[in-house]
Amino acid sequence: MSDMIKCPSCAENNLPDQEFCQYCQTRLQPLTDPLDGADAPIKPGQAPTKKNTAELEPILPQWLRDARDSARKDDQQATQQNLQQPSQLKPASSAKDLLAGLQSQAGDDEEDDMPDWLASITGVNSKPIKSQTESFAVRWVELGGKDDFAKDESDGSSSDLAGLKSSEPQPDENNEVRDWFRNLGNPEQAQQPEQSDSTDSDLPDWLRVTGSQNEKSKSADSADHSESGVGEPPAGIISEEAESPSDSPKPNQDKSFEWLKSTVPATSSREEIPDWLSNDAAVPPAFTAAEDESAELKDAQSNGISDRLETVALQSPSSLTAVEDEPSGGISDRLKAVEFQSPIHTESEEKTIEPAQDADTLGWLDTFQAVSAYQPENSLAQVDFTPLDFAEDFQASDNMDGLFTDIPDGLLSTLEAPPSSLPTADTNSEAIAPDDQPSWVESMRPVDSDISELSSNFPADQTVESSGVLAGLSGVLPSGLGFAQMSRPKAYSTKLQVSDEQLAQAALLEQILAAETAPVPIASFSVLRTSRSLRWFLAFIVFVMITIPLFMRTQMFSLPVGVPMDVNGALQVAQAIPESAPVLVAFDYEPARVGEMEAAAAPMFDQMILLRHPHLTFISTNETGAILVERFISGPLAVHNYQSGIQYLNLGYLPGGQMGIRAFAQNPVVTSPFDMSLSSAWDSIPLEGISSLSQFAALIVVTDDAEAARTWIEQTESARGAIPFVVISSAQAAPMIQPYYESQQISGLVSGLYGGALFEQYNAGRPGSARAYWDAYSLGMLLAMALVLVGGLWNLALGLRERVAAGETQ
Amino acid sequence: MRVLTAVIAIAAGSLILGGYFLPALADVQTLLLNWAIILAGVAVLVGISNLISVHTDKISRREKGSAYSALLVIGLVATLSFGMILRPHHSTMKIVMNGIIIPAEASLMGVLTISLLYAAIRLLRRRADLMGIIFLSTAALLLFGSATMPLGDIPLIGTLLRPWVTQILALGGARGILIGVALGTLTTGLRVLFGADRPYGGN
Repeated sequence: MSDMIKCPSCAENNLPDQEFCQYCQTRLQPLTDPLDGADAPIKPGQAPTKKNTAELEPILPQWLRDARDSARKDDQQATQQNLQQPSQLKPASSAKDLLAGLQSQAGDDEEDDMPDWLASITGVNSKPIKSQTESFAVRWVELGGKDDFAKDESDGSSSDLAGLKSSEPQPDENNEVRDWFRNLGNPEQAQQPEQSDSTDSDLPDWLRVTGSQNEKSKSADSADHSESGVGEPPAGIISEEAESPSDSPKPNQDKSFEWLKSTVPATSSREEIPDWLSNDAAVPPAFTAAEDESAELKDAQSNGISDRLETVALQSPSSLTAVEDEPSGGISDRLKAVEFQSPIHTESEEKTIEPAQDADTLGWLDTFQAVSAYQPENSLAQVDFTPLDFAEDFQASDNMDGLFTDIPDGLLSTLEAPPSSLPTADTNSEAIAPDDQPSWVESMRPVDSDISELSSNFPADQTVESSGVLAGLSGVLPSGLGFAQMSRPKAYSTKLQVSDEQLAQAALLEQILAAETAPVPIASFSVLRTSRSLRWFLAFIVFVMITIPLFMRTQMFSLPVGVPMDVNGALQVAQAIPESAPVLVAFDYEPARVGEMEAAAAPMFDQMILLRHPHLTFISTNETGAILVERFISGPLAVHNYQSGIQYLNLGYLPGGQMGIRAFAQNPVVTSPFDMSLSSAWDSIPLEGISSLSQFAALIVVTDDAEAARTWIEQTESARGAIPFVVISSAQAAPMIQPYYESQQISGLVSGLYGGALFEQYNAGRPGSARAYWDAYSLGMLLAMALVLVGGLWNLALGLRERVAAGETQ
Repeated sequence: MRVLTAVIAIAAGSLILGGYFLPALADVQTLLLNWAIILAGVAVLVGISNLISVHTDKISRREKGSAYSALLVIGLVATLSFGMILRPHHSTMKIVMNGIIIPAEASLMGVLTISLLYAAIRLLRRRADLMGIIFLSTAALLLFGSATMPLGDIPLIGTLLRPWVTQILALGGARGILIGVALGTLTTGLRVLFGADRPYGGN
C-alpha cells in the first residue's frame, strides 16, 4: 500500500506506474522533474511568502527594471487618460450588476488565485496559489476593451476601420504562456481521445468542473453560436487560422484565456461555451450604463451604426474576438484603426495609426484605448490574441447577450482596475520569457510604487557582469547606498597647500613684522662738517694770545681784588699752623694740570714755609703724585730748599683709592710705613712722634679732582679730628668742593689760578707764578669769551639760515 | 662658589661698616682695608702686565699701529726700570716727568681747550635753542668774569655776577650732585651688603 499513489483530485489510490488517475483521469506523474528549492511550486493551501522586494530590487536584472519602468510610464499615461475620460469608466464600476464589486476585489486578486465569481460557479473554494492559475489572458478578458471594438467592428457602416486587420500573433508569444496552459494547446494531446481529460488534469479543479459542466450544454451552445447575430467576422480581422475548420484544434489555442481554455479545451464550438457564456440574458446593466454615458457611442449610433454591431458593442469584452471572426467587409475601417491602436501591435504601428485615431476615433474608442493602454505588454506578448477561437465561440453562440450577462464581476472590475495593478510587459526581445523565470523572481516582483522609489534612489547601472552565474546580466549588482567607489586613498602632500592670495597675505604679514622689529633711525641733525680751518685758526689765535704774554712777561692785567671766604680760610690756616708743625699734604692731581695746580698751591705753601717752616709729609693716591711732589718741591718751592727726609717726606703712592685713604686715616703708620726711598717713614724727622692723622697740624689736599677731595674729606673726617683741612683745587673742581667749605668740613679752599693769584697778593706777590700766568690767563679768558660770543652768534645765524633753507626745500 | 664669594663680600662689607660705629671692629676694619690696598696694588701690577702682553701681541702680529705699541712698551719698561733702579726722586726720573709726562698731558689739555672752544663756537649752529644759548652765555660770562681787566676786575661781572654764579648757582648744583652721589653710594653699599648686587662676579 505504501507504493500506491494517491490522486490529489479524487483521493483514490492508484498504481505507481499509472500516469493518470484511473478514476478521475488526473495526471499523477508530473510532466517535468520535481522542482525543489526556490523553484519548488507552491503547494495548494500554502500562502506565498511575503518578501520585502524593495531590498532585492537593486539586484534585479536590467531588463526587469526596464519593464517596470515602462509599466510605470504606461500607468501614468493611463492615469492621465482616465482622468480625462472618467465618465467612460465610472459607470461600469458604479453599475449595480454582477460586475459591481469587482473593483473592490481587484486588490485581492493576488491573494486569491480564484475569483469569487468563479468560485461561485464551480462551487469549490478558491485556491491560495494564484501565480500558477493567474494568467495574462484573464486580464485581457477583464479589460473589456475588445468588446467595444467588437461593437464597432460589427458595424459595417464604419468604413474607417476597414483594412486594419491585425497581424498574426507572433509564435514567440507562446513562450509566455504557462506550461499547463501551453499543454492545453498541444494538438497532439487534443487529438487524443482522452485529451480533454488530460488537459483537465493540468487545470485547476474549478476549471475542470466548469469544463465538465460545459460539455453538457455543448449541443445547445453550438446551435446558438451558429445562429448568433455576430455572423462571420470581418475578413480584415479574422486571420487565416480563424478561417480553418473550427472542429480541429488550433496550435494557438493555448493562447486563449485560461477560463476559456478550460471551458473549451479542444473545440471552439458554441456547444462548449459554458452556460454563463452562452446565456442570452440581457446586456449587463453596467455596460448599458457605460454605453449610455458614452457620448461618443451615442454619436456613433446616431450616425447609422448597424444594430448588429451596436449589440455587440453592448456585449462583454470577449466578444471582440467574435467580431474579428466576421468577414472583413463587415468591419468598418474605423474599427480596424482602433484595433491597430491596441498594444498588441508594435509601437511603430501605433505611430502610423495615431493620426487616424486622433481624427476619427470616437469617445468610446478613446475609452478603449485608455483601457487597452493599461494592458501590460508582457501579457499581450505572452497571450496571443486569438481571434479564431473567439470567433468560433461567438459564432457558435446564439445570443451574445447571454455571454455578457454571465460575465463575472471580476472581469468587469478588472476593466476598471487602476492602471498600477497591471503589470508591464517586457518588450525587449532578449528578455527572459516568463517561463524561464523562476518562481522566486515572480514572488519578488515589486509593486509599481516600489519600483518608482527604488529607481529614483539608485542610478541606472548598466554594468554587465562578465563572470559567474550572473554573467551577461547588466545592473545585477549595482552599487548601493553607502558603497562608494573603491579606490586607493588619495595621497595628500605634506606640503602646505596655499593659494597665491594666501602667499601674498603671508608676505605682507612678514613685512609688517619686519617693520616692527626694524630699528627706527632717530631723527638727528645733519652732520656738521668739521671746520679744520676754524680749528687751526682757534689754535693759532689762542696759542699766540697766550704765549705772547707768557714769553713777554707782561703784567697788563691786574690781579683780582678782594679775598673770598674760602681763600681767606686757607690763608688763615697757613698763617695759623704752628712752627715746624707736621703737615700732611695729599698730592692727587694729574700732570696735565701741573701748571694750574702749582700756580694755585705755590702761594700758600710759600707763605707757610716762609712763616712756619712746617714739616711736610707728602702722600698721593695718584701714581704720578710722588714725582709731582718732587717737581713741586724742586720747582715753585725750590727757593726754600726743602730736603727730603728732613723738611719733607714723600710717602709716595697710596694704593687702594678710597680704601687706602680710609686705612691711612685710621692707621697711617701701618698703611704707609716707608717713603719713596724705602726707608721707614714714621721714624724720620718729618714724622717724628706722629702715628695718627690727627697728630698732623694741618691736612692740605692738592687735587684737581673733586672726587678725590670728597674722598679725603669724608674718609678722614673721623680720624683727623679738629685739624685744619684745606683744599687746593683746580678751577674745574672748585664748584664741587665748595659745598664742603660751606658746610665747614674744610677750613679753606683755594681754587685755580684765580685763588692762587688772590693768595699771592696776600703773600707779597710770592712766588709770582700766578702773576706770570695772569696776563695770559686773562687774555685767554677774554679771547675765549669773545670767540664764544662772536662765533656763537655767527654760527647761530648760519644755523637759522640753513634751517630756513631746509624748510623751504621740504 | 657663588655663595662663598657672596658670603665673603657681605662679611667684609659688614665688618668694615661696623668699624665705623664699633671701636672693637676697628682693627678688623683696618686689617681688611690693608688687604684691599694690597690687592689694589697687585691689581695695578696685573694691569701693567696685561698692558704689556696686549701690546706685545700686537707687535708680534704686526698689526696696524704696532709701532705705537712698541713705543709704549719701550717707554713703560724704561720708566719702570729707571724708577726701580734710580728711584722716583732721581733727577733722571724728574726729567722723564718734566720732559715727557707733563708736557704730553699738558698739551693734551691745551688741545682740549681748543676743542672746547671750537665746540662752543659751533654749538649754536647745531643746536640753536634756549638751553644752548644759556649754556654759551653762562660760559662766556664766567670766562669774562674770571678774567680781569688791566684796571682791575670787570665791574659787576667780575665782582658780582661771577661770584654769584660760582657761589650760588654752581654751589647749589654741586650740592645736589653730591647728595645724589651720597645716596647712590649708600644704596649701592647696602645692595652689596645684602647680596643684591655682586660686582665681584656671580651675577
